[in-house]
Amino acid sequence: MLIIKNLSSGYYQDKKYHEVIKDINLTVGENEIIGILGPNGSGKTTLLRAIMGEIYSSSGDIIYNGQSIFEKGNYSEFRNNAIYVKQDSFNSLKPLKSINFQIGKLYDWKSFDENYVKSLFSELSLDPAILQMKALQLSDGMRHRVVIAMALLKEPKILMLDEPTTGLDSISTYKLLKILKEIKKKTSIIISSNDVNALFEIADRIYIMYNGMVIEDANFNDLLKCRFHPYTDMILKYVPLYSNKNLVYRPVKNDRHGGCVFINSCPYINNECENDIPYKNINGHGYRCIRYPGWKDDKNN
Amino acid sequence: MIKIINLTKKYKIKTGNFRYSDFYALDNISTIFKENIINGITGSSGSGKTTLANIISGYDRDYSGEVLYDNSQEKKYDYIRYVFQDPYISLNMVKTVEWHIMTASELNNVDIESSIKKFESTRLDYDDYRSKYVNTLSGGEMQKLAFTIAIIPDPKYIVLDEAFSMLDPINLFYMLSLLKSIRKTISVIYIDHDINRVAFASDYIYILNKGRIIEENDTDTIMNKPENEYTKKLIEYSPDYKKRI
Ligand code: SF4
Repeated sequence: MLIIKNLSSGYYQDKKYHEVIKDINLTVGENEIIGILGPNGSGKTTLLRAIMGEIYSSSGDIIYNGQSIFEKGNYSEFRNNAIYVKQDSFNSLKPLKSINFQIGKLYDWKSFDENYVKSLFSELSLDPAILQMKALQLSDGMRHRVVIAMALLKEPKILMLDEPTTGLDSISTYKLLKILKEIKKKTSIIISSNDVNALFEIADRIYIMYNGMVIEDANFNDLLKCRFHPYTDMILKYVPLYSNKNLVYRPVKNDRHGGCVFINSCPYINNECENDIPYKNINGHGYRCIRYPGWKDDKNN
Repeated sequence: MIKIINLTKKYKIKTGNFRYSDFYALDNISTIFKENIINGITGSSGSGKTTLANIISGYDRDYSGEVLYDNSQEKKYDYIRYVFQDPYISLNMVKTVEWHIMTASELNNVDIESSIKKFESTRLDYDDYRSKYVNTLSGGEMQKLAFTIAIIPDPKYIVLDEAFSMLDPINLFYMLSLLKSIRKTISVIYIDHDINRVAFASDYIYILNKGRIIEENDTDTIMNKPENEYTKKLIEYSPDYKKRI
């Protein structure tokens, strides 16, 4: 449904272009939850903004239902079908106004089908009584769910959420993730997050980003079984969970220049890694590491 | 040792026209936070975690009950240090990393070399960072700096209230491991809403719900044989990448 092809994007600063994300390939199918996982600063938000066409893309293409959104006429069609919920929109409800009021505003004060709103809210296990409440009276978790429900009122085909679970406690996170599973029946979802745990609980396919590049992508199950990139392997191994209590992490620091984006933190480097690393693919499992599968046999693994 | 006895903090909340009722942020709690271990406190938003942290570290004096530091109501200057969730509170945005390290060293009479070592123990290179202004750092880097400043005086205790919330998982894993390695010299009170992270870091865990400690025990007992239904719920809902919703 949505195909991102070799996309590179960035920002203008002092009339100079700074590229932030490079050569991104990503596919979103119908009713699929796509997870974008990576540390802060890896380019996740830039990628979402580039997909929305909010920022300049220096190369590549975005194909929506077979047509490039960069071609005349197609962009507005795409914009009508894709909604991007920025990270700070989770805090952007007017605290003293009722949810009903905020929904009215969403429809530019034209009349809207209140029954539809109510039924959508109940479908997402949100008590329609919430509609009468002021945003201030909602808990953090409730507010996040309401913002997402409101985004759905426009019946998007693609819903993009930037760090939707940030700031939520475990129980609220769980409830939010459950709602997303429900929503997936109506729309495709792209979620960016640095929370390994939350993403693997719901995403169907996960793209791992590092320094502006996708370094691995696969079905969540394939990733749980086998990692092709050392960075993915590291973030799935060193998760601060009770079950990992006695695990010791010894960070690596190399001093190399160029080549692989992970070169200075990778325990498995050799001279090949200073070259440009192509993105390869084995049965739908993509990766950007020149030493796979060789590194799996290294002594320090 | 920090001991709290019958600690209560209540607010008046408006429930109608001219009607108010009491809301207990902390409801008559008594316990002990031991030395040389990591004491973990967890519970949902609004359970009273931050209120408790504010009181123990001396920022909030409006409560009833008692807080004793080594059996005394007064605490020595460098007895306890607090790292807030929001690093903006304790850092000066328009000063450099070096300014922060120097100032903290001078104020606490410690030599700069040992402060720099502490900074570098958070896995940031001092030479790379010294001349950077705080407002150019990422959230995670700011939180590491705020942590460094808190441990510069070698306090007996540090209280961390969601103080690593902006770190990505690998850095979080690293920082929690660092806490484990310093706990014999600096005792830790670690507050986090995720019971799994708390269990990863802590030796002993307190479960807070609605202003009360509903269960406390050593980590293995809490995680393997929780008694309270709410504790069981926290464990069940805690995100874990090996589970599927
Ligand atoms: S290409 Fe080399 S440096 Fe990069 S991840 Fe693979 S082994 Fe590590």
